[in-house]
Amino acid sequence: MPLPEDADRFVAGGGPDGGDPDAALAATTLPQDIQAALRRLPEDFRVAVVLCDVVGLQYDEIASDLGVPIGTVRSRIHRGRALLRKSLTP
Amino acid sequence: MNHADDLLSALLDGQLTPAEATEVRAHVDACAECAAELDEVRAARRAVRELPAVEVPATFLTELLAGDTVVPLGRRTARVPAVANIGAAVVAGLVILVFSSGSLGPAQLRPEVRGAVARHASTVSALLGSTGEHLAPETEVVPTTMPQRDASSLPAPYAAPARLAGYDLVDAYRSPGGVHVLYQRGDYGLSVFELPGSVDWGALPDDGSSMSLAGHRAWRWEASPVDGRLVVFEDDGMVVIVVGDEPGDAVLDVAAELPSARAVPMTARVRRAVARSLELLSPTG
Repeated sequence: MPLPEDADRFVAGGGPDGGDPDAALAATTLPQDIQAALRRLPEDFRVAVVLCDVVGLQYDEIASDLGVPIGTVRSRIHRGRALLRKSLTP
Repeated sequence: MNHADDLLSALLDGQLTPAEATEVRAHVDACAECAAELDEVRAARRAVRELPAVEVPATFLTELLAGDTVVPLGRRTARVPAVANIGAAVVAGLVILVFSSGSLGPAQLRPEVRGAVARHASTVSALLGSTGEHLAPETEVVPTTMPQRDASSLPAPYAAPARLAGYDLVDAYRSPGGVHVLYQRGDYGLSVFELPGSVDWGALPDDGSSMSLAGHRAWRWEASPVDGRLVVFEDDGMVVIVVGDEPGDAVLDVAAELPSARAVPMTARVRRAVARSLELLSPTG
């Protein structure tokens, strides 16, 4: 299993607008904004994102715990993150 | 390939095989849309992962499973970031529970057996009406009727079988420290109280008897003057109290069926409870 991507190395030169999207997000959001955005996610997405990014479980562990296929976990995490990002965008 | 979609998050999380990762990277290099999407999900991923750590309550598990407010007591770990004050405490506590050497074990409980019998009787009376003098508690006890919960919405550790040893599920309630699930068979009621922890066996009344129940240490008691029968046992980090008013061994029959109905590993139970708690404990709106 490869290590998680090194984000800084993988996207040389930053995002499509030429800036650093992470820094831009950090500059415009507060922890409570992120918490609120998480709470607004549909439950299935929120659970998957939290188990992955907060609890730190692997996809197969999440799939086992939730009793869903690993492809479903992957989809929920991705869609959850995409919704979060939209929700956090000013 | 078509657009990478959820392979992008899997790439960030290191969940692809080397061959898959190479293919996705090549696609992203050639697809501006996927490159932009990758930036978006990376930003969201980092935002969640970098939420500040919070202090963890020593009693997190009890409070988590009870759905009560958590009061942070002291820092136990800096590993886990916050989601919300409550949820984060729960999550950080989860890590300790699963991976620690046991220094933060479940709370040891002294089951209030008389109170459990009285609460059972009071709840049955309040819900079903008076179905017999044997159900009337000697003292006034507030029934566990509020807040009422749909049994199907209980957190994973409390998943309640619809039928147990001939008893049908009637309702489920939160009760102090855990849940109270009510069953009925004819005129007889039966309550299952579940709460996280372990039993302080020495604190139980002297007039009960120890026994083994489906491989679990258990303790049986017949209440007086209220006509109730009760059994207490431990099951994988949970304390279960079964109270019934039917003569005979109904409480034992029900208790014997409960463990097999809840054969979910403790770690999985806690993880699912954590996930569920984010909804249960987070303020709405």
